[in-house]
Amino acid sequence: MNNKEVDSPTLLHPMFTMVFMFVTQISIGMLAFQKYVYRESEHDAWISVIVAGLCAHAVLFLILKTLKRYQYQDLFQIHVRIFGKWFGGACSLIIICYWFSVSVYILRNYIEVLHIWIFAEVPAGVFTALFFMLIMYALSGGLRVIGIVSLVNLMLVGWMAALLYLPIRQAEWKLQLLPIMEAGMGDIMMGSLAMGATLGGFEVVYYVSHRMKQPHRISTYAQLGLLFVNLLYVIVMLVSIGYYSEDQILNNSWGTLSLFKIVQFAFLERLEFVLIMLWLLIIVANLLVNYWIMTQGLHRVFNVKRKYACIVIMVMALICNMLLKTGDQLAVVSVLVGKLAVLFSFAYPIFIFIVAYIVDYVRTKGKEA
Amino acid sequence: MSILNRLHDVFAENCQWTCRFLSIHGRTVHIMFLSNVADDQLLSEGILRPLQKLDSHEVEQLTPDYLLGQLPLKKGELSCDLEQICHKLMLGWSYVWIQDGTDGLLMYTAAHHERSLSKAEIESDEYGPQVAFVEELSTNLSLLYKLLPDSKLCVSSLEMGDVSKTVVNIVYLKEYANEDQVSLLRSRISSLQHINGMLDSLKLAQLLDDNVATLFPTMLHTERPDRVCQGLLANKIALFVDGSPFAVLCPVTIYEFFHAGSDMYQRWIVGMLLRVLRMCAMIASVFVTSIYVAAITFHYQVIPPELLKTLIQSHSRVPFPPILEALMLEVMIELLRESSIRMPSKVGQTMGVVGGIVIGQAAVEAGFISNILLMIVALGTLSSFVVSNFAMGNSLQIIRFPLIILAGAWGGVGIIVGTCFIIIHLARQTSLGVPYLQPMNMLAGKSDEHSVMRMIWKWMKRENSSYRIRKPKEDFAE
Amino acid sequence: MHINNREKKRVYFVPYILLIFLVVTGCAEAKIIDKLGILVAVGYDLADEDSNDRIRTTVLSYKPGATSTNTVPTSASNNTSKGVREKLSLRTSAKLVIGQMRVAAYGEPLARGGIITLTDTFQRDSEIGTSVYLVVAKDSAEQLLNAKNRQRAGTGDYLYDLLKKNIESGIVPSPTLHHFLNAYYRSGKDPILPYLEVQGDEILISKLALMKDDRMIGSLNLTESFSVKAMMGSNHFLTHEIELNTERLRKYYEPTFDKLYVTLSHVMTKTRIKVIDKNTPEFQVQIRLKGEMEEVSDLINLEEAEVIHALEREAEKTLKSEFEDVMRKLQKKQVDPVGFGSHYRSSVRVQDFTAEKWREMFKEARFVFDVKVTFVNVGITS
Repeated sequence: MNNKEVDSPTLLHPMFTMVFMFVTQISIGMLAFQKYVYRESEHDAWISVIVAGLCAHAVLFLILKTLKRYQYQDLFQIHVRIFGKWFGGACSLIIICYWFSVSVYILRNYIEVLHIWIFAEVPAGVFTALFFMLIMYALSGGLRVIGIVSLVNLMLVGWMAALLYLPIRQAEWKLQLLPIMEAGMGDIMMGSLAMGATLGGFEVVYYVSHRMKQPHRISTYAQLGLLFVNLLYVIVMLVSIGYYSEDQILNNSWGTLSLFKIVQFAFLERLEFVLIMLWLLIIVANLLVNYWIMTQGLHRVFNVKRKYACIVIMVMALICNMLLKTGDQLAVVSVLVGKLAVLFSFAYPIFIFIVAYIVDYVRTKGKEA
Repeated sequence: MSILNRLHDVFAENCQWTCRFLSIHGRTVHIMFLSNVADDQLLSEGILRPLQKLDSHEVEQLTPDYLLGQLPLKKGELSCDLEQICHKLMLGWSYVWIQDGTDGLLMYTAAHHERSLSKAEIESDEYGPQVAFVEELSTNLSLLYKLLPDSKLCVSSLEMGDVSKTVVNIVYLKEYANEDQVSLLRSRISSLQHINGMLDSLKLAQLLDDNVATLFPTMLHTERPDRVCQGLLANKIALFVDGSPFAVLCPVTIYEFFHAGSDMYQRWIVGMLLRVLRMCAMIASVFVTSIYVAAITFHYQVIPPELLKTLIQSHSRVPFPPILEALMLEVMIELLRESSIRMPSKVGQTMGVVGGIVIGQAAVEAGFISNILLMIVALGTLSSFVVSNFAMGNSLQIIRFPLIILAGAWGGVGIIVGTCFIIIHLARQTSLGVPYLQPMNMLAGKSDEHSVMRMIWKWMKRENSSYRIRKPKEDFAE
Repeated sequence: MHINNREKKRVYFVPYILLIFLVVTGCAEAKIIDKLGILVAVGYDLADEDSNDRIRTTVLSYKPGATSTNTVPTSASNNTSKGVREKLSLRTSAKLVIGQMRVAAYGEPLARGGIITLTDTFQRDSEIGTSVYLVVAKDSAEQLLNAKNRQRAGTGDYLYDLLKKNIESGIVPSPTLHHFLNAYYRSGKDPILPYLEVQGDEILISKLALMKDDRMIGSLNLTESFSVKAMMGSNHFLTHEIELNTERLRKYYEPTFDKLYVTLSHVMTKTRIKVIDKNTPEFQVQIRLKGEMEEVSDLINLEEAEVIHALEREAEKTLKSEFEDVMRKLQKKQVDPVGFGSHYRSSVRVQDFTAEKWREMFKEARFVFDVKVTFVNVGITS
């Protein structure tokens, strides 16, 4: 069983880093981020998006540096190497809890979209079970299957981006974007912070790098992937600012979905329905990566079988999803998860980088002495 | 007990069993064979006549060894092993035994009941070599040797089945094919040694699959020698089963099931567009009916007003919910398909067309199904025929049913859930350890065999180095 | 690679079974198209004075299950526009669904009181698209939706086609829900809606309703409508008739009537608005109009380029005065359907730009028109 030929195909081409970054960053946030950024920096929101993107690039650079220092082990192993078995394990558990909250947030929000648009009468538990069936099936195939599924799913949804052409045609950029930098620096920064919650997820590199064939090559792919994601966010933001008017964008909870309401073909219209349905593929891919990280973490910390870890997480997630009943409960959770995302995606990698640097420094000094 | 008696015992209940004894200058020579599988002419020309021509001097010192040198037949060997003798006799060999000797002589006198080479019928194509494999293994291999006359071509033979004793040949090009894959294949086949009856290569391919329960074929079968050669040149391994006119190629990715041999012989743009057409047809054949069901049942909002009026008019006469209507029609089409395959060819075609039109037309007239659905289902079925590999076509045909049911229960969300399930299923499959959805080469024309597209020959990696003709490019032509 | 590797791989039955289970217990509610009463148009009016209800709603829906797609009107009154469904469902056999709604009509009395609460529910409802046309109906929307049209088409479809055509190539600026809300939520712009009338057995767009925020406060006649739409950016009109002053054209022809008209077809307009003075404020409106000259109301020899140019200059003068007239009217009413406020906001850095402030500034604003008319050709005769 532990033969080399069997294992080698489970290592992935480093290009998959890009795929994983896409699916973790573009999840439910893509459908609804405009309002929150616009609230802070108004029609300069796109600058906020760019600023947040640049910050993400910088943090990603630090993440890659940290990974290189630890020979591309995953974050759970890095924790143990920095903090030792007990404290490191505790850190890993906190990280797992963070990913758990993210997965609940994403799934529950998507189910909310389904409730609002398509099936108002189907209980959230049924949808959750439907998702878990798919997740369980793919998760048993390991990261290779997750990677391929994510790639195919991305391609099946990606073409929808071309339809943005129709709202672009109606956008009045000259009236909406000018004058540039009317918002103050503080507003822009607040906007970036709001954007940071959406942009979080690029730290997935921490966990998948050790499954790549040539881990040293991932840095290019990771930065490139992040760049594409950032560009996509900037484009959608620009289109939204041009297409909606000031208060209209604030009134709209699902800005991206409403952009597709005007798309009409001879055989199909109201493409937002199609987008919602196809978005299921993105959500599944995203949850797959989330659950893979969580099972991997539990496996590393407690040395339990991945199968059981997965089942435990799913039962907990099912309970959480059923407990969140109304829209305002969901809003509270969303705000909380947004803050956590900024903390764990942006602040924590910087913290780890500094600590790793200090620990290394102290240890080498200790050896020399 | 002499070998003669023991053989008599074994074949006591076989009426074809013939034991002829020849008395030459006082010595008795027994010639045993099964009259239906041994060739009369070979027997008389190769054994009886030379025996009769022996002079008395020779007869006195007649040994099986000497006789082996005298008989003008292709193959012959000495044997006294009862099991081997029985086996060879079943294959058409004759056993020559000189009275009171220990060893006898097995001589190859098998009769060949071979059909002549014919055009490919299942994979008929407009370009490329037209010949197809037949049921005879040696003929098939000779077709292959003719196309790839190189010593790198390796053929290793294995035998399967306790009773059927089928010969299975693993064919590959040394230095091209992956050695690990070859040995994996060999070990899998030898683990199937005692299988009960191995009568066709399609059965073998299923037994060798990485995942035995998968819905999709993970090994490609073909009846065209040029397709096999293309595969061999692309590092694949071919399996031949004696008695089966299909060769099996592995490992393969899913895209290859949508390739046709002639893609490679067409102009590149034609070949590429045909591949795109086939992919679209695949998607259409799987999804059209379920999309119709989903739109009619749940998503009235996404239908533009003009189309909506048409759809309402067409469906308003039908008393059933769309899911039932669609399933009924799909089953009907499946019935037509199935019956037209089993019918005698001339009758089958007529019946299929007439039956289809009459039943379809009547069902619409009677208000049983709506005419738009009839058109959509027909479109889907037509599309499934475009897929060049019929095993894949059948798999796709089956996927439609769960998708229709999902669409009827959950609308578009159901279709997407089903699609996602299929994608995960495909992503989990491997063919001899190679991922079935090998994604790296999906669009780029690195090598044709894995790619969705067919590129210009020059652009393909394999062709690049050796065959490229460089033209100086300085200016436009005069 | 060992053979056992394959043997140990289990067949995953669990997901399949779960899938079947979920499908069987599927509790999604079906909406089969021919069993629905699909609304194509909705009309809102003020309810009768003496009743307790606030709003009277009229809906126009496809007859469910009928082979023809004629529409049937149904009306009921209630306090909220969606709450009325409860009462409407007591009057119809099929389930009424609103996802295919194309036209929403508001009776003039209601529109004068403000319609934002009624449009707000549209944008709140995920079923409804944003390309619904909003219109103001003379007297009452109920009357409009109950009217028979001369073409004998279904009233809902007829209204939709009528509006669609006139938006694409006529004087009606796009009155979709999106555009209405876009203008309503923008501080420097006001919505503008078409005004429909029933005259005998004919439904027609008679003018445009000027909206101040969400209240109708006046209307524009056809000439004014053309001017406003021409100012709103690049547009296309099927035809347009321009009246020319004959005084200066005497040297080119012998007038038989005292007025001269030219009709242009395939008219393309391009407009650029620039702020040239931030304090007054003063705007420069540059309008380029191109069209094929199709008809002249008098006999003029058009072989000389000079004659054509003279006609073009006259047309420019007429158009300019029309533009100035309509701007005076808009300024008097303090409504800005063209969106000069947005142009002002985007070129001047002003803190707290609000609709109220802009209305005051708009009253004092000055407009300089720079109109250029080009006759692309004069037809196949000269």
